[in-house]
Amino acid sequence: MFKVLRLVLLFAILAPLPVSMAAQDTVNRADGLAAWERVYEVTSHPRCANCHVGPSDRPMWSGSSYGKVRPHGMNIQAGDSRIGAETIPCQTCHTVSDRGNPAPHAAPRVDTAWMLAPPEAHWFGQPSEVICNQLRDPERNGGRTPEELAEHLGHDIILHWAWSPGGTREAAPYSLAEHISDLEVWDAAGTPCPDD
Amino acid sequence: MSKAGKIARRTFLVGSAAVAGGVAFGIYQYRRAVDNPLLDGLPEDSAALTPYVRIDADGITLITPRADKGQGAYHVQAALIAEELDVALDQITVDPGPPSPAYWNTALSEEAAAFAMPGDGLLNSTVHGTIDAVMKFMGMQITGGSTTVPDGFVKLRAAGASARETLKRAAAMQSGADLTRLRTKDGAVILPDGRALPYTSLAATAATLEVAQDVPLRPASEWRLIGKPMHRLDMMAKCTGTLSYGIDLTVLDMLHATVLLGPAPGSQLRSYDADTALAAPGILAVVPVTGGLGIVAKTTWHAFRAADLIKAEWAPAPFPSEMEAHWQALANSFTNDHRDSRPRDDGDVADAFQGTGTISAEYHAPYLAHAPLEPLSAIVLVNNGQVEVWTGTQIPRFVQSNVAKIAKVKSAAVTVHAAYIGGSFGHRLEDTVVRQATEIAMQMPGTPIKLTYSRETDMRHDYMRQPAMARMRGAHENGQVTAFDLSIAMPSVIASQMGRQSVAPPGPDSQIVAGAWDQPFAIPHHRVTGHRAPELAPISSWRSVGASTGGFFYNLGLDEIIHAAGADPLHERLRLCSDPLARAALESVAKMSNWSGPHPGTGIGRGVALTHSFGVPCAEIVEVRQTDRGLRITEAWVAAEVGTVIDPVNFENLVAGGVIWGLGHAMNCQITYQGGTATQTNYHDFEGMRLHQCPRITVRGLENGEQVRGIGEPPVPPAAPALAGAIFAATGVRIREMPFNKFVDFA
Repeated sequence: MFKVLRLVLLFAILAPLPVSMAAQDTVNRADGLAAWERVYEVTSHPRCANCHVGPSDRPMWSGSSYGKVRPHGMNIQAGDSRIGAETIPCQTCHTVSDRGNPAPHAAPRVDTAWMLAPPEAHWFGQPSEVICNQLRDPERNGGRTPEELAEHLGHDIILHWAWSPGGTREAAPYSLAEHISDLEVWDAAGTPCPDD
Repeated sequence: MSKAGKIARRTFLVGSAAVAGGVAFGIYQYRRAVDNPLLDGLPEDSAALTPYVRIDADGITLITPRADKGQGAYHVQAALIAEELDVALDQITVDPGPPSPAYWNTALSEEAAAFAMPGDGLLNSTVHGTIDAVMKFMGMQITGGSTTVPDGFVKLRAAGASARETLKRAAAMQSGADLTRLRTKDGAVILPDGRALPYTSLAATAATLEVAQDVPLRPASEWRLIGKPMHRLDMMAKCTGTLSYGIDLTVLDMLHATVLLGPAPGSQLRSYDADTALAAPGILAVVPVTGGLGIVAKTTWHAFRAADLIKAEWAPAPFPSEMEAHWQALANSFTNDHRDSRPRDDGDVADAFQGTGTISAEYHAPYLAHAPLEPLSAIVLVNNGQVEVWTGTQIPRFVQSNVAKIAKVKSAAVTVHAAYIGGSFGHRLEDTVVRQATEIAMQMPGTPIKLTYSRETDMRHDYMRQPAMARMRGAHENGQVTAFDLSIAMPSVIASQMGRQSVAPPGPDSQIVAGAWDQPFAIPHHRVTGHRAPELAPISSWRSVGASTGGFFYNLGLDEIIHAAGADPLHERLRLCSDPLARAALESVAKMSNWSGPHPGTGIGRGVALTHSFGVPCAEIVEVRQTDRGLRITEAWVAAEVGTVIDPVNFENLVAGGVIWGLGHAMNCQITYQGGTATQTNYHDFEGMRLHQCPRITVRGLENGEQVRGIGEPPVPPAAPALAGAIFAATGVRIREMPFNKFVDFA
């Protein structure tokens, strides 16, 4: 497990995933929507959504290894900064380390300081069309084009961890490369959303 | 008068024994002299004044043989001795002493006598046999049953008084002063001219004297320590992290070990391949132990890592592998064949349910682990026919004799050093870890072996709190409870636990109906029946033992009938309450909480429960509030009748801890078996109450009773049902099983 995680991290650090966007006119709307559905599976998956909790200042514990869906234990609060209460940032437990801490009761670690996604990136419990519109809205996606979203995925190591979280934790669906590819396809199809 | 009562009086007869170099004091039991264990190796100029006081040139040591597992037992024992000995707490050292019959727990014998109540024929016919068996087991040096204070309250003060008067005689002899004009203060005898002779300077003379006997104990009005807040003796070390618990102890040149045990307690090892483990860094040996394998390494960490590398095949669990079968076994036990006792049968229950207004319900309480913060550990050194053991234990005499059997030596050849315990809750009433450490040490003579369980092994191989099920029928008329029929089914804790000590108690198991049959409520038609389920997963005493389930069921049932009758849960309890001490406890919490019913406001609910256990009526009221994040437990009020409060601060802390323990487990905890193994392995899936969830807890110790009582366990049984009552009041959700987080969310 450690080896796998280290490899992923190493790859991520030394060679950010190259992103090559497909030409827009080669993908039709149906393919784009199908790609979006896979993107939605990823964004709504507990591994990702647990930290995209919107205005709540509390990350969630949900997913197959957590039992009942509930807010992160120990009354964890991310605060306005989203990095944790100022006196106890997330990285107090989710420390910077190349050792994954795979035991089920242990705070997972990865080479990036943990924090919650900004409130406008609210994924937890949201339906497909809401997340879809949010992701194509530069006002709410950090001012990114879809291409930049894909690049962001290539750079951000904590996102890579979602596909190899260690221990018995369930990984996000598909793979990082497939997810990036799906974003490309969705972009090439003109970022269609189910409610368009 | 029961045999136990007579023995309790005789216990305090004090005698002396001549030994080389001086005189020491022994306590007699059964009119038979028991050697003062402090005489072994006592230097010539020292005195062992009773088995509780040792004085030498270096200082005064008080022997505190009841284990300290965080409840302040050493502190309280020392304070009781110091009260009569006239020493300041900061002048003394405490030492748990060696295992010895001198330290038999006589209060547990009295507790055993309480089983001899008139009632069911079965109970009557076997009760004497049961008492004898319980005496044999409980009459040993054991810490449990909330008995440290009741056991020591007279005994330890008497020890201090005897030692004090003997020291005064030594001072009279040494100085020529008139004995009647001597007094004592701060560890010294004060002569009429004001000179102070420190006890340490009198030890050698005192050792030559006849012991002072039958010294009257001081009246409460003269107490310096008892009843007043004291600085707990271990607090500085605990607060500065310098206190050594059993798991912190080191012995020169020791090696470290852990065990690989099967998925279930009792599953046998069929085959294993340790080649990879043996090639791992730091690993030294893999040896057989009862229940699995011992892994010996340079460090605990190396041993843990190597244990993970062993491939092993195990026989199936010797009990049902799936949880459903455990519940089914309990459900199947509500039959005459399984009937164990019916200690309460008032009025005519059969008749009482003929009319209208009857209700029924079924309740469940799951397996629970003890899960103390300090996992089990023991150090054992086997060397030339002598064995030394360092461990935190509540049963040092059992440890001594079990280790002796394994090492094939006499008990006298086994030295047990009792260590501070980092939480137990009954966990260290078992000694499996010491036996396994001894087995490993036997295979490496001359090398001290420190065996440490991983948290996961500790939880999975705990001997759990018993699972239990109850069926209730109730009837009411004109807004009053008229009939209450409670049947409880559970496996026998005593049989499982004592079985591991090769003791087989006859007769019914009082723990099946504990916290239920003897509750102080005069309900006209009232029956409590215990059904003994077959043994399932191994179980053991868990803080408050049978009362933890019985008190839960009893209060849940009573609440439901009261609600059906349209009455107030507190007022109806008060109306039914037949015991003035319990009534005072209920009235006290009502006043403390300003009780105005279970629904003081929207979204706020209050519940009340009273359990009479370990001789203590303990009443609790819990308040919850609905918030947008779930239910928040905001307040808990507790009133408990204990006769005399020794140290109000320690008392309050022990009660608050018991409430937190009871509430936390009710909220979050259960052990379930799947595929023959416990599903829960660590605190992430067996969660205690968190700091932010803890309510404000207000405690009052009542001192109306004549008998002094212990408070370690009594606050636990009422906590869960009071919370259930509060949740019902706040939300309308009627909870009939633990953990409650299956039904509601807690903020």
